[in-house]
Amino acid sequence: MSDAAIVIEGLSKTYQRGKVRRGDLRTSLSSWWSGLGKEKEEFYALNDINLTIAQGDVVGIIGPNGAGKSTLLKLLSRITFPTKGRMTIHGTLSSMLEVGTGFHPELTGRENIYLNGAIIGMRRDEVSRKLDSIVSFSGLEAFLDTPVKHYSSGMYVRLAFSVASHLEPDILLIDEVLAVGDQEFRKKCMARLLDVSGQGRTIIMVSHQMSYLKDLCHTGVYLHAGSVMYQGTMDDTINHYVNHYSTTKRIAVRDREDRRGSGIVRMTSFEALDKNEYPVHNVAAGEAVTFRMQLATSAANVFNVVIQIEFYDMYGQLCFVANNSISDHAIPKLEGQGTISCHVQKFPLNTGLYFINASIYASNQLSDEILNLMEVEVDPGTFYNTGLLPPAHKGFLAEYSWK
Amino acid sequence: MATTTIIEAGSPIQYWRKIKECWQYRDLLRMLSYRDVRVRYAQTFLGMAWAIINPLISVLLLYFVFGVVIKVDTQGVPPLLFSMAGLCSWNYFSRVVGEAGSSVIGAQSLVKKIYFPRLIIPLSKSFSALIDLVIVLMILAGMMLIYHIPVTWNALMIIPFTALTILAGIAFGVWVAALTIRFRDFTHILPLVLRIGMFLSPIAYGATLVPQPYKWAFNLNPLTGVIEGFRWALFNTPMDINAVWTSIAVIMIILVGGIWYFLRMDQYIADII
Repeated sequence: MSDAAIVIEGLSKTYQRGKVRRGDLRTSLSSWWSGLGKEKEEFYALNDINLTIAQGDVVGIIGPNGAGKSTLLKLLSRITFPTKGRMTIHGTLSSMLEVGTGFHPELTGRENIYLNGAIIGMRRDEVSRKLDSIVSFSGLEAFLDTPVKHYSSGMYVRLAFSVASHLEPDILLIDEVLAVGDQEFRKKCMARLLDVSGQGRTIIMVSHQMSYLKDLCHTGVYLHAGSVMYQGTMDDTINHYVNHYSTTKRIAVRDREDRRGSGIVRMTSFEALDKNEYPVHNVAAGEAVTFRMQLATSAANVFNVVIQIEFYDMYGQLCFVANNSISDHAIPKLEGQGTISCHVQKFPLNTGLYFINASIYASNQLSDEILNLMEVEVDPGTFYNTGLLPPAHKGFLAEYSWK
Repeated sequence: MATTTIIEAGSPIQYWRKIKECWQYRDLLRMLSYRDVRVRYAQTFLGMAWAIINPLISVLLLYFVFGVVIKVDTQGVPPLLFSMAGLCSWNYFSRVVGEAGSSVIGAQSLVKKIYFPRLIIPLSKSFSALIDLVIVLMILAGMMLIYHIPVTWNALMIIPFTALTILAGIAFGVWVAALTIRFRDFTHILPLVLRIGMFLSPIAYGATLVPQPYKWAFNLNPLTGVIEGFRWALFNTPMDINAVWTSIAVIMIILVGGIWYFLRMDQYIADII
């Protein structure tokens, strides 16, 4: 365990903001003409990262969107090249592909296993050797010579995961890929991958689902704005992230000035929590979420407090409303301060970005209204047991069954 | 442990190592080529028959224009055969270069998600087009039987000329793939250049018809020597040995330059694309 699998020293990756290094001949010629010495606006996706990852460790990388998690994995997997610094990688390294990448619908299941295997770096004889195991793992024996385009989406996912689970690199990178797919099957894949980690395989994964990482990872790395904020046990890392993140967020709601209403009752904090009560900005469709807010009143006591949280999609369409007086939790009286939570058992919104507006009424009068209180990004999740979802932003999710 | 990889910013590009890596990934090269061939003719009503119909239509068109209308001197070879022999190299070359141009952009979902030697992508196009080359050569052989053209030992010389055709396809394909990543303009430039190239290559006419003052420029077209050589091997038509050497030199320079340029671009591909 003490041997290092990966040593990262002073690693940085910059991108040019706004400008992409491509384009047409004209911009290329004109930018050359206008002088090479000009300052270009650069931003650091990763800034001077130093990390050592022990061999056999299972590492979870967490951090808000844009913290550089995916950039780090891309650098490790050699998809992009660092701007500064160096990485020393001991052993073979491979990444688990997003479902369906590198599959071709016209090819049969068998052909796709070979194609996908070759893409993720397996030799042909290696695939042949593992073919029986891959096929029986997927349970798709009967459809092996059927073109994949005739597969159901569930079958597609099973085939892709089965190939990926048979990868045997020394170091495996997993970027949010296990978020989708049939839950049972997903567990089976993860079990297979982790099983081998006992034999010295190092696994590095990135996910927004912290409770998921908590179960699987030993070590955690917390990235923020391109820097390593913390590295330690997964639990400690999550706690660090949670504290750091929620203090910054709490201040934000308290200090918002773009609000309307009498101000008798005001909202002082608002956060979304996952099932382990960790603050999140990303929610998986169908996951349990709690929206917890703190209220404060300047009056001695206030009667009949009504809180309404509205979820809007990115087109400004109202998706659903959570209102404590409509459902079951009236607040007849509030003294000083109070904390109230709205628990959503199965988050019913499809993948995409959503905005939350909140308003508070006291004694039938508008007291506090904050528009665009928070953004929630919904990731693919298992609202339905298959792990499949309608296309992003196509309606909300209802529970139903077919007979 | 078995392998240790060091990735360091600003370190010189290890060209030789990257080329060796392509060899390690040869199964991927094979699978990508196989996929292309399977998919190209899948779901079409006539399937593989298209691989025969396409060159046949081209050659009939060339025959009509150059053999029937203009009546170009074909050095004693039946005009249909003359054009067909010229078309072998050109057909393969234009297919490889045409497909290689957009190949890396077409594979961007892969390129952005996983590492493999990117050179494999344009290379796979030169392999998947081989099947078409073989079919065209078979049509040519069939036509030679029909026309009772005697086959001599000299016909074996088409082997090195076929090899040169393949190298030319790879050389230009790699260049065009790299340039298209950098400058999307090449998606417009390429079909234009290929159309010009088709008329400036001695497909349906002999290079002997080109006036002396233009000859040196005409010979710079790497396919001039290859196509002329092809016909020399089969029909013993006159061949300018200088044109052949020029072709070999041009192809080699472009091949080495193309691979060098592509590998230099390699590490930026995912950022640019």
